[in-house]
Amino acid sequence: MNNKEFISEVATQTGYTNKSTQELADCLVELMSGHLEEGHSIQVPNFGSFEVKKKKERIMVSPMTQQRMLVPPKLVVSFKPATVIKDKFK
Amino acid sequence: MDTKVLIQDLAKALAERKGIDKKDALAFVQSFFDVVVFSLKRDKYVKIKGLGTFKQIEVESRESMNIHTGERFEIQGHMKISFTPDSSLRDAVNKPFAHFETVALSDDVSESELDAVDDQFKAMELEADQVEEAEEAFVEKPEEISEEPLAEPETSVLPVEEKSEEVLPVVTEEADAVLPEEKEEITSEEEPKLSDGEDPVRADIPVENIAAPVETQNVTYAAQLPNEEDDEEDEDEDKSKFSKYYILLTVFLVLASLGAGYLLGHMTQGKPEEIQVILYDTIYIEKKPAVEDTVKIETEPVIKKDETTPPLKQKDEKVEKKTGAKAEPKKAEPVKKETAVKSSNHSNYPQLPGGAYWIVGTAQTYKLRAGETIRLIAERFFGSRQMAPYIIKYNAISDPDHVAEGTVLNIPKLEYKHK
Repeated sequence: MNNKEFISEVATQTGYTNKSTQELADCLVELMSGHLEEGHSIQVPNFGSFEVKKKKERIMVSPMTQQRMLVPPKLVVSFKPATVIKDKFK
Repeated sequence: MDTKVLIQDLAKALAERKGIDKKDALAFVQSFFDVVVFSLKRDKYVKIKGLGTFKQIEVESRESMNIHTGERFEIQGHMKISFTPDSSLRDAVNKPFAHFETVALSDDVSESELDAVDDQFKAMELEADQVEEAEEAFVEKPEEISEEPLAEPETSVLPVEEKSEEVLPVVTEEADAVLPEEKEEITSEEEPKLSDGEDPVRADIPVENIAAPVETQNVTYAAQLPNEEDDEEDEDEDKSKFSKYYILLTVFLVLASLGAGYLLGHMTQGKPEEIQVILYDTIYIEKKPAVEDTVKIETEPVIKKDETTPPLKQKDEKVEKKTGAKAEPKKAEPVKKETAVKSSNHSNYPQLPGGAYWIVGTAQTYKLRAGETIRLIAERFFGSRQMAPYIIKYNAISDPDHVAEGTVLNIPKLEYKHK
């Protein structure tokens, strides 16, 4: 399901128009990414949690050239589904 | 950093931004995520602009072994939800580290060398910690002493000198061993401080440069105690002697730092870079507590002479122990360098958390040939590939998937935990 379909699905459920749903969704996503940038974790009941994690630097070997590369440390967003959701998908 | 944000917070902010009712906002947020779950189930993937993509991934069933009981069992195939952040979100979150770039490593740097460097750094950190701990212990001691009420007023500067000289004979024998480099650094530091003081103690300094560090730490503290009495008297009689006290204090500070430098230098002979680094650390650490003491002295001036001597001895004993402890990691280091893969500690083997077996020693060593993997080796020696974690743990292999040909592995000797 792409973004457009997703928005129209949310729109039918909430009763907003597609346009205002898109606006609200954009605003929500903006808020979420704002929190994540600060390093906060976001917890959504019955869905899961978003968290920023630090990945350590590592040495990688390029399969093409056999050249060894030092990959720098980075911060990534990780999503951990709630147990309720996990059970649903079993 | 680890603040938790709930959907209520999100809904509140959303309501403020968009000028809608809080309840509506909360309902919107909830249905937003409900739809994600719903469509994820139906379409296996949901893409949300600005946030990322949720995907449902099938995990095939696989065989595994219970590491507690050694039982084999099958992990059932199941569904996994993966989340890939949108590139804009990914970049925004990684902003603090954005300036890093992937660097190509030259081939002549081997991984074991990197490990060896790592070990060195760890050892250095450990040492610094120990010194700090030792300092803390010393700071506490004099305070305890000062609480007991037993004042003996007639103490002059003399005992100070005596005590510092007591330390002297023990140490001067080793004096010649000090690296010249170190001395230079030290003398340059002491000069400005001493320039304004003319004290009998000062004459001792050149010789005492050499005093062992932790020992001189004792001296500093021990010395400070009599000083305090001086101070006490002086305050009663003449405030001008106050400056003399400060000079004395600086002199002993310098002595302490010199001594610290010496011991560290002595321990790490032949490794000039390390000496320098540690030297600065110790000097920095040492000055702090001493200054704190001065403040205390001024506020609570009831200190006795009798107590000062026994603690000195106690401290000396402690010091001996400490120097012994410090020497240990140093000795272990060369071993680490020779075979970086080999774990250093002989009495304490690394254990696999939750494993069914204890690692109790090295059964034998094995040189890895081309095409062999740790798992294969595990099968050969222990009869199961599932035992590979023990070899990986025991040899401290960071990347078990890429072990170089010719690596010498220590095959651990295992002992079943539940006998």
